[in-house]
This record gives sequence, C-alpha cells and structure tokens, in this order.
Amino acid sequence: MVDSLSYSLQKRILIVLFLLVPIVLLVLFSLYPAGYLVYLSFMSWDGFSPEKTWAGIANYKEVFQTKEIWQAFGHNFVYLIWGLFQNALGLFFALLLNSRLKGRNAYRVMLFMPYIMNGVAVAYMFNYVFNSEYGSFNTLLRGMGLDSLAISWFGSPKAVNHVLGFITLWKFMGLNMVIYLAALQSVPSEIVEAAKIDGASRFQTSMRVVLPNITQVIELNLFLTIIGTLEMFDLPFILTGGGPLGASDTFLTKTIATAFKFNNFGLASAMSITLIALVVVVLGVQRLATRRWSD
Amino acid sequence: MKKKNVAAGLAITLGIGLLAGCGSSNDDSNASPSASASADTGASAPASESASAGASGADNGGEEIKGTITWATHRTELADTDLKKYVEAFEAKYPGTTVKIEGLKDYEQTIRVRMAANELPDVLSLVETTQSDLPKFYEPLDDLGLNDNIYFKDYNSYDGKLYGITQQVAINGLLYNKQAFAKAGIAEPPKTLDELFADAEKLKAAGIVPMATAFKDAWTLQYWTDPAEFIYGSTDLRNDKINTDTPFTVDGAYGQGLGILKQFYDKGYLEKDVYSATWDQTQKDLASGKAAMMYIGNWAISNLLSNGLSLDDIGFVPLPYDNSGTYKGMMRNDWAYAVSATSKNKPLAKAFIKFLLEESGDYADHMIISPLKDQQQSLKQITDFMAYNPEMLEAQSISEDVKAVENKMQFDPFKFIQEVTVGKMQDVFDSYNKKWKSTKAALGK
Repeated sequence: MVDSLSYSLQKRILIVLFLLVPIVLLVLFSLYPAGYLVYLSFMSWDGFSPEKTWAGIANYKEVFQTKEIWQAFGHNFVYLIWGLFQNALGLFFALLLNSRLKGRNAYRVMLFMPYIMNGVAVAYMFNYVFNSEYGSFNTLLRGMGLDSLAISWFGSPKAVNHVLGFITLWKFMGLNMVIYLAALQSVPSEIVEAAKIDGASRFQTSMRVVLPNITQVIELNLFLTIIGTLEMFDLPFILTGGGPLGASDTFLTKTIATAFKFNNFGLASAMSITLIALVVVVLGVQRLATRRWSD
Repeated sequence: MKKKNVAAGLAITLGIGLLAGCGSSNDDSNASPSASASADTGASAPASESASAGASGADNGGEEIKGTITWATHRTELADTDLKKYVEAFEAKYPGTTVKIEGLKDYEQTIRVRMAANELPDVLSLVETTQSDLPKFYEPLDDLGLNDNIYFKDYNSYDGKLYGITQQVAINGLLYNKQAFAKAGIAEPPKTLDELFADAEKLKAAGIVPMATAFKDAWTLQYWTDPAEFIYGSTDLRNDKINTDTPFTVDGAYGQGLGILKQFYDKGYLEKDVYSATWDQTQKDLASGKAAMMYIGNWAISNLLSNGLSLDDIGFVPLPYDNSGTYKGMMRNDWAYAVSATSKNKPLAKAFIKFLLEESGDYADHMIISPLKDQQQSLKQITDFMAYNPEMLEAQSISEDVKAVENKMQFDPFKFIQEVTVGKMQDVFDSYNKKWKSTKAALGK
C-alpha cells in the first residue's frame, strides 16, 4: 500500500505524524493554559466556586491603579543591578579562563557548579550563611571584630533585597560565564593573533577585537538576566516570604499572594499578563538599543 | 571551529530551556503560610496510648452502613499510623465497610482544585468558602445528633444548617517553661499585666528571651489579637469593622490589645532579632529554656514535649491582659470534618465522622481538646488553666462582607500585626483605615 503513495505524500504524512505528539503536548500544557490565563484576566473568580463573572478590563485597571503592585517592581530593580554586575563578572571570568591558565577546567567546573544546584537547596544553604545569630557570615564578621556590621541580613528592609540579589549572582554567574566562554572560543583565532602581532596589549585585544565579536551573545545574556530579574520568585518566596513587612516582595510573589491568599484569580491573571507585556516591551527596547550599538 | 559554534548554540538553547523550565515549575509550589499554620495545629503529637473513650454507640438511623468511602486529611504525618488505627477500629465495628485514607501534603490547594472540578472526597477537612457557598460543596450534618454537644456550632453553618464540625478545640494561653521561670527567680505565673511585665524584666536580666513570638513566620502572631477581643468584650471585633470607616484606633480595642505585644517589643522583651525568629527555632528555644513564654494554643504543649521538655515543666495559664484579676480565654477552632455534597455514600461518611468524634479517642491520644463538650481533657495544663475560671470566648467565622473587603484590599492580618508591632502604631492604623474606607466604599458595603 505504501508503494502506491507518492514519495512527497509519504514524506508529508510522516512529518505530520512526527509533529503530532509534540504539538498536542504543546497545545495541552502550554497554549491552552496561556489562553485560559488571558480568559481569566477578564473574569472575577475566587478560584473554587463554579461561577466566574465577567469583569471586563476592571482587573487591568486595578493593576495599574494599585501603588503597592508597582512598588514591588522597585525590588526587582535591585536584582537587575546585581544582574548587570553578574554579567560583568561572568565575562571577566570567561576572559580569564579562556587563556592558558593552569587548572582552568577545575575553575570552570567550580564556577559553574552553583548553577547546577537546586534552587531550594541554594536557598536553604544561604539561610544558614546569613542567619543573624548562628550564621557563618555573621560569625566571620564578629570574628574580625566587625560586630556592628553583623546585622540581620534577611530582617533589615534595606539589606534584604541586596542579599537576595547577591545569592542570585552567586547562582547564575556560572551560567553567564559558560555562555561567554563558548562565545569567546568561537572568535576566530586569526584576528586575535593578527592584533597581537600588531602590538595590541591583552586588554586592548579583549576590548577592541574580542568583545565586538560577541555582542550577540552579550545581548543574549542580558536578555536572560532581565527576564530572570523581572520574574524573580523562588528566593524571596522560600527565604523571606516577601518579608520583612513586604520589603522583599517581588511582582511575582505579589501575584501568587493575590491568587492564593486573597482568592482573587482574576486580578492575579491580569498581573501575569501585565508582566508578560512588560517583558516584551523591555526586550523590545533592549533589542533596539543593542542593534544600534552593534552597528 | 564549527564544533565550538554548535557547543555555544547548545549551551544557549539549554540555558533558555532551563530558565523557562525553572519559571514554570515554580508556579506550582505555593503553600500559603496560613495553610501551614493551621495544618500545624493538629500535628506532631507523640501518641500516648490510652483507651478509646466511647461516649455512646452510634445509632445508624435505620440506613445500612456498607461500602467504600475516601477520607482526605491534612494530618499527613499521622495518616499511616494513628489515623489508620482509627479506620481499622471503624471497619471492625461496621463489617463490610472500607475507608481509604488520603493524606494530602499541600492540602488546601489540592482540595481547592478538586472543588473547582467538583470532585471532592467523601469525608474531608472543610476548606473554607464564603458561607453561602457551603451548601454547594458540603452536606448538612445536623442529623448526626451532635448539635447540642459541640463547640463552634455556628462557625461552619449557613441558614441554620451545620456543614462542618471542628476536629479539635484550641485554647490560647500563656505557655511557659517552668525551669526558665525558676532560673529567673519567678515562683508563680503572672496574675496581672504589671506582673507579666515585671517577670519579663527579670527574665531579660537573667539572659532569657522573655516572650517568644516566631515573629518571622508571622502566623504565630495571629493570637495576639485575642487581647483586643478580650477588651472589646466579644469576638465580633473583626466583623464589626464593617460598621465603621476607622476600625483601627490607638485608644480602641485594636490599639490597646495589640499594644501589649508592642510594649513587649519596645522594651526588648521579644527575641533579640525578631526578623529571624522562626517557629522551628522557637519550639527548641522554649523547650531548652532559652526562651520562657509564648502566647499560643494548647496544642503547642505536645510540640514542647517532642522537643524534649518534660510535661511537669510546662505551664499553661490565661494571659493577664489587664490588672483586674479576672481572666478571659480564647477558644479557636481547627480544620472541620465535613462530608462532600456529591458523596455517593453519605450514610457511611456520616457514621464515620460520628465515630471519629465520639469513639476514636483522638483527643486523648494527642492531648488535644475534643470538640464534644462532654469529652473532658484531663491534662493537668488544661485543668490548671480552667482553675483560673476564665470567661471563655469562641472565635467566629469572618462575615462575607468583611471577608470581601479584606480580600479586595489585600488585608494580611499577620503582616498587619507585624507592622503595628515594629512600626509607629498611629501611622500604620491610619494607612489601614484609609485603605479600609476606600475599599469598603468601592464595594458598596
């Protein structure tokens, strides 16, 4: 029977069959929930009762009118600062470990290791490090006679976001580094050698020859960092629960609380959609900016 | 060269994939702190073996009790041990019945999903809805014949019908470590508010944390609104908010009641660093005598026991909220037994609840207070508490209107108490009053 079908038809049937499974999975677990999210954002629903009532754009109005929701973005901004620092550090280590350093593979593994670790485990680990009374960090500070610096790291509304930002840096720096490293190795060695022969110093080679060749990867890393900071969730959720007094609430922990604590699924869905829109806008701006830069 | 590019590409896609994976999987794991708070209340008590105290045999009301039901419970740590024992006793009493226990870790969230899908298990711990939604999900339990004998009859009622019976009653009181008191030279538990502060000063001088709060976890603070309700004279305090635009005033019940906790904070009688004080650590500190007192439910006695403090060293008395020498005690309810409205075997489900309440011996096994008025807990700490002759108040469910306004303004009572304690009371009250007023007006309540 198969012989009677033309080759191109066979090919087409095969392609359709192969694609069927992933498409069904995609629709079922990704597209349908996403569509449902949009639907819910126009509804008023408490999360369990059978009836949902139409709310129109009231939920979106509320998102944009509520001051507290936008204040939470201020906390996300702190993560962004640490994220930029994280990128710089990742690039620095990548440049360092791209040279003929002794034992560089061991260093690479060490720096990448935090990224492999489970986020919850990392959170618990740093919970011990930064505990105000028994934590290793404060013990170290006290040991050096810096008692006044040994504050409650998760308890101080001013410090808490920076501590969480630092933990994010520790965890994701390795990922940035590996991506940079891969990019650095794809820079043609001929032009680097040519620069060296022309008498460029190592710093000049890095700045003038290597970096312009990896702008796209820098852009990608910034993309990942910005998304990560806008969607920061697990660390504050596990370590501080948004505390002290809401000082470490991020946009997402607020969204979760709105849905599951205050049973307002409509508003929470609208917040999620707003976040998605915001990510698109921020990335659009970033792309415009970096395109001009790379030209 | 080409290989390197491929590696870079792989790393990039892997990175994005991992990040995306991270983001979506995180959304699933949310346990609200309030849920874990109430889950804790019925939890982790060492089973002291005692005979089942059967009050009366269940009357079957003519219907045949046979078949299979499912029982979903939040008490996961007991699901394979004590609860199984109760189920076996039930099945022995009614041959031909099977009860499947389903211990759910993320109980409230799981049940809410099933509620939305209309697939509730036959017997469950009632997940709170608005009162008018109760008949949609749950079966009335009035025909169990327990109505005159239970505490919190009104809590899960609507339109005169009873939909849930609390699984235990918790009495809030001043829990203290007698060894810590002795070390600070305190012979007797405080009888007045002044004595309470004087004792706290002595404890502080002895290097002991006078009053533990587990401030960071916040749910442990919720009991500190009790003094406000004592001063108000009834547990209507929260619901009566609906009648006013300025429910929180410094010289009113909230200001005076929460003022007690605030004074403790201002004078340095709470944990040294309140922001890192957790419930896990607090239990250990109370048991070891590093901390002396805590205002919490009687269920916490078993937590101190399991942390190694002997029963003789645990004291439990009413909190002296003023200097009058008269006392009040707060009774709070726990998760409630309920039968699903869609259950296919309601007679069996009801008989099972009746058995759990009357004959299982749960309250004696776990040193808790039975919801049945005629089952007295003989634990010394409870009889000591009652010897003060406190006027007992019953907590009330939050009215629909108040709940609607609170949810809309995103009122988090735990955070509210935290803010009042560490902040400037007048400012905190002002901002909450403002939000309360505008939200109430917006909802037209």
